[in-house]
Amino acid sequence: MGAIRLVATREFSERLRSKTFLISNGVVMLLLLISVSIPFLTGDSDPTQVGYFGDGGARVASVAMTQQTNFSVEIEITEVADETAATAAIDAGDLDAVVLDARTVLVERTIDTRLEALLANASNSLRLDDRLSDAGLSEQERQGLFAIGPLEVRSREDDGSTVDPFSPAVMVAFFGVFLLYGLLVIYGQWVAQGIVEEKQSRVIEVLLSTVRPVELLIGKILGLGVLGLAQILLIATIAVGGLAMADTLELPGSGYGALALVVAWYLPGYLLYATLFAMAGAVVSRVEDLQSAVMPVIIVLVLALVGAQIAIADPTSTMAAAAGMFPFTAPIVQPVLVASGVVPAWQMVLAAVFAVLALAILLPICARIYRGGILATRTRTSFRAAWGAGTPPS
Amino acid sequence: MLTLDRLTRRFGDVLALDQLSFEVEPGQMFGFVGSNGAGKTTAMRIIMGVDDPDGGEVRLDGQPLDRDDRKRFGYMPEERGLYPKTPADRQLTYLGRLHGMSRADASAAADHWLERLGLHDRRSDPVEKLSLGNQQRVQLAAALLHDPVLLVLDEPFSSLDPTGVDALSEILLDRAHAGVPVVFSSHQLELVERLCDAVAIIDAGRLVATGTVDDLRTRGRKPILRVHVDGNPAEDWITGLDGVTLLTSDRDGILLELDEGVDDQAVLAAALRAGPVRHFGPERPTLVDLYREVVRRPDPSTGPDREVA
Repeated sequence: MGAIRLVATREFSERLRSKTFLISNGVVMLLLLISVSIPFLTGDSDPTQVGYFGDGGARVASVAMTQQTNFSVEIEITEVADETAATAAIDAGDLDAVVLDARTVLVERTIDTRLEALLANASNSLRLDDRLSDAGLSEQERQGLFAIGPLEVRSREDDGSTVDPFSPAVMVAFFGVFLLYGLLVIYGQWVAQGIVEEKQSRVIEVLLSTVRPVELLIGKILGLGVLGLAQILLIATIAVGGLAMADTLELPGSGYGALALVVAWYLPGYLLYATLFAMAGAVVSRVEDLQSAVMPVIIVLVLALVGAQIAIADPTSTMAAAAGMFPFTAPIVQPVLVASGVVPAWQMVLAAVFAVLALAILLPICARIYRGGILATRTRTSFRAAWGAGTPPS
Repeated sequence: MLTLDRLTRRFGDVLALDQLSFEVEPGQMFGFVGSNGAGKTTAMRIIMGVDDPDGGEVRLDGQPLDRDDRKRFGYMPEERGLYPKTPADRQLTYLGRLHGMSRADASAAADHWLERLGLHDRRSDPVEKLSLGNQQRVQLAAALLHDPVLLVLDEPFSSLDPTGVDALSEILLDRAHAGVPVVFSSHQLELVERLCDAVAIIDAGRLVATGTVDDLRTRGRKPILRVHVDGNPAEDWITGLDGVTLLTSDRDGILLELDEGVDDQAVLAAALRAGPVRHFGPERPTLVDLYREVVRRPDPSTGPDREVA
C-alpha cells in the first residue's frame, strides 16, 4: 500500500507541475466560461423594448403587456413623446418597436413574428372591445369574452415519455458528458504516456526492483484518477458558481442532478478507460508509436459520444438503451438518458453493476498485459507475447 | 550469503536459464561472466525480483526472498534509465522512498551521494541535462543510496572511461569491504580477474564454472611452467626429464606441463645446464584462458546464433 501511495503521489504531483496540464486546464476553463456566458438554456433573455405614444398606442401597449406570456415574448413598455422621439429611439437601438397608434407599429427593419402576433392581437382585441362597448355590453361581460387562455393540446403519441431535447437537465448532461469525454481522452492518454515514458527512459527496471508491477499500475491509475476527479469537481464548481453569478439563467434542480451524475460516472468511466489505455501503453516502446496504439480506444470513446447524441434524439430507443448498458459507452450515455427523465432508475443501477463487473474482469487482464509488456523496452510487443511468457532481455 | 538454487527460466521455446546455481559469500566481489545471451541479465533480474523464474529460487542467508528483502538490495540494470525531466535530487529521493526510506532519510542520502559523486552543483538539474557520465553517476547513486545489503550491477563498467572504471571499482570494493556481497556482470575479463574474489561463468543458461578465481586457475590442473632459455629454443634439454610435456613454444619461451610429483627444481637445473635462463616461473591461466576453455565455441553448422536470453 505504501508503494502504491508513493507512485500515485508522484504521478499526481509531476502531472500537476507539467505545462500540458496547466495549458489543457486553461483551455477547458476558457471553454467553460464561454459556454456559461452564452445563455444557451433559456434563449434570448433581454426583454423586447416596446415604446408607445398617444392614447391608442398606450392601450395597445398595456393589453400587449398583459398577454405577453401567451405569445412567449417578454416585453417592457416605455412611453415616448412623439413620432420624432420614437424614430430617434429606434435608430439609437434603445427601442425595438414603437406602437404609434392602435393600428401602426414602427420598427427598424423587420418585426419579430411573435411580437407582431402579440401586438396584432392586442390591436384587434381593442377594436372588438370598442364595438362590443358600442353594442351595449358591460365591461364585466366584455372582460369575460376576452379572457383568453392557452389552448389544450392533445398528442396522439403522448405516453408521458415525450422529451424536450433542450430541457436544461438534458443540455447540462450533454455538455457534461462532452466534458467527461474530453477528460477521459486526456487522462487516459496520460496513463498510457506515463507507462511508455517509463519504458522508453528505461527507468522501469529500477522501479520494478522495488515495486510490484501491479502496484506501479494501480498507483499510476489512482494518482492520475484523483487529479482528474479534482479537475472535474473544480469544473463543476465553477460551472455552478458561474451560472449562479451570470444571473441570466436559472438551472432547475434536475440540471444540478445531471451535473452530479456526470461527476459520478467519471469514476467507473475513468477506471475502465485507464485500464484500456494502460494496456495500449504497455505494448509499445516509444511515445511516437503511442498514437496508433491508443486509436482503437479513442474510437470507442467517440462512439460513446455518438451514443449520447442518439440518447438525446430518442432516449427510449433500443440503441440508446443498449449504449447506456454497455460498460464502455455507459459513462457517456447514461447521464444523458437519466437526465431525459424517461429511463427507469433500475436501468442506471444495472448499468453501474455492469460497469463494476467489467472493471473486475478487465483489471486482472490489464495487470497481466502490463506486467508482460513493460520490460519489452526495445520494440513494440504483441498482446499475445505480453500475456504469455514475457519478454527476454535484449 | 546469496544462493541461486536451480534457477530455470523459459521464454517460449528459448531456455534462458537451465538449473543455474551458485553462491555469493558476504563481502565478496563476485564476477558474473558469459557471452551475450548467456542468461546473465535474466539471472540478475530474477535475483532482483524484476523477473520470476519458472523453477528454482533465490535465497539470502538461507531464507527465500520476498519483496521487502529486495527493497534493501541495490540494482543497476543494464538498461540504464531515470526520469529524464526530473531533477536528480528529487528523483533519488523518490527512489529512496520506494526502497522504504523516510522522506528525510531519502533526501539526506540523495544529498550525500550527489556530493560524494561530485554532482552537488547539478542536483536540481533535470537528468536529461546532465552528461552521460553524470547520468551514470546518478544511476549509481540510485543503487547505493539506501545502503543496500546486496549490490547487483549489470555491466556497470561498460562505457566508462579508465578514470570512471577506477572510481567505480573503488566504490564497489569499499562496499564489499563493508561486508556487502557485490555481484556484477562484465565482458571485461581482465577487470573481473583483477577485482573479483569469485566468479561464475555461464553459457547458454547453464553454469559452466564457479569458484574463487585462484581456485579456478589451479583446481584440477597440472602445474605449468614458463621457461625461457637464451639461445636454446630447440627444447632439446627436456627430452631427458620424466613427466614433463611440452605444450607450446613461442618467442617468450616454452610452456611445460608437469605431472604429479615432478620436482620443478629438477626442471630448473636442467634448464640452467642448457643455457642462461631468462625466465622461469609458474604459468597460471588467466580468466580469459579459463573462459575460452569452458565456453563452447558457437558451432556454425547448428544454424543461426541465438538471439535472446
